[in-house]
Amino acid sequence: MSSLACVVRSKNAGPFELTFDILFDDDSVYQRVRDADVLGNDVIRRLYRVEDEDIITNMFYAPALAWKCTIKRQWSQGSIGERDTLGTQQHAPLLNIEVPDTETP
Amino acid sequence: MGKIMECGAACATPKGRSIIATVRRDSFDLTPLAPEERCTPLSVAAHTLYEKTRPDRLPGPGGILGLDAARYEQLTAKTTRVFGAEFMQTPYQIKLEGVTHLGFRTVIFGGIRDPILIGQIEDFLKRIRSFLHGRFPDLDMSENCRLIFHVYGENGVMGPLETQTAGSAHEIAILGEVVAPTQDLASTIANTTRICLLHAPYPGQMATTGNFASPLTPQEQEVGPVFKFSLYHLVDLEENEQVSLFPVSFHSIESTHEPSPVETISEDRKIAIRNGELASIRMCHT
Repeated sequence: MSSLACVVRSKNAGPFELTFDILFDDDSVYQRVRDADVLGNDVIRRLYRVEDEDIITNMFYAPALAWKCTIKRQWSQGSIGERDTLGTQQHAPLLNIEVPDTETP
Repeated sequence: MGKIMECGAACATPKGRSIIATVRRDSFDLTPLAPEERCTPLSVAAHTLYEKTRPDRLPGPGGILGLDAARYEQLTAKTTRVFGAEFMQTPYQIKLEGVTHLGFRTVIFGGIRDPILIGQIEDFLKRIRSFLHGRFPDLDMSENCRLIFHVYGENGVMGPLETQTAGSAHEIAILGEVVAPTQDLASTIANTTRICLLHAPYPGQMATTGNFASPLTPQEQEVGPVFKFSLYHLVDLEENEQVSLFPVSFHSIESTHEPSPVETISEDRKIAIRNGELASIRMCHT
């Protein structure tokens, strides 16, 4: 993923949600990733130890050639036990997702 | 437009600071100011993802902006036009946010470089915690009196979300957070915790002078009061309360002299702005 995407990032979406964005700059690359089915809830569950009910959004957004996923924050923002107040360093597991090559006929 | 403009020219490529928006009845145009920056349909559309739950529904007081039919059009080399979004009215609600005072926090921070201890750090911290429970019976019995270890080099950043197994770090750092009803109690617990980290024995120990490298003096740091979110709710309003709750007043400010040009921009910078060229669009994939 890190060699295909333009941006791979995480951030708070309010104090109780954590959101992940992956942005591409090329329509064919975007379609390749979307069609490869490598960003489904099963992958998010495995990469982040969350359950289906923790995943609020998991969608592709064609106008921005983007993928977005939002999960419930496992701890609320800014109190004791906080690890990442702004949520900017939770994206790393997404970088190593393997995207299969487009099938050639 | 407000959602995009509140971040300045973050929606431009390359990302910038200053931007002008021109609002029309059915559209708005975005033009970044720096010569090298441009707004493209992709750079603007991408900004709708920023810090939002989802990009196609942007809820606000009194309605939801639906972007299903939004279109982004390159108007000039620098300017992108946006149109087609649909505002769906909902009953007016405002968000109420508030916090509860949990107590007072004292923290300790230090590093461990000894591989014999790093290899058994989980057990070591468990033994320390259980000793502390004997010494401070209220510890970990409520959210007002707690000890939390963050182990950097293991899962300090992601905590429960971390799925990569630890084990290869040659050094680790430990941040110990203590919260208690008074600052004195928090500091006392933090002090005892630190002494344990420094001097508690462990199997195979070869270094007998201390286990914990502290960069800071004093070695316990009082962080002060600590809070948690306790209110984060939408409140239904009565009719027209959105106006009465937030009164608007208008003031007219007049200058007594003519405005003068900003002198902090150097002549070189002005020439650079005048002669600047658009940066080429970076392609990312390899």
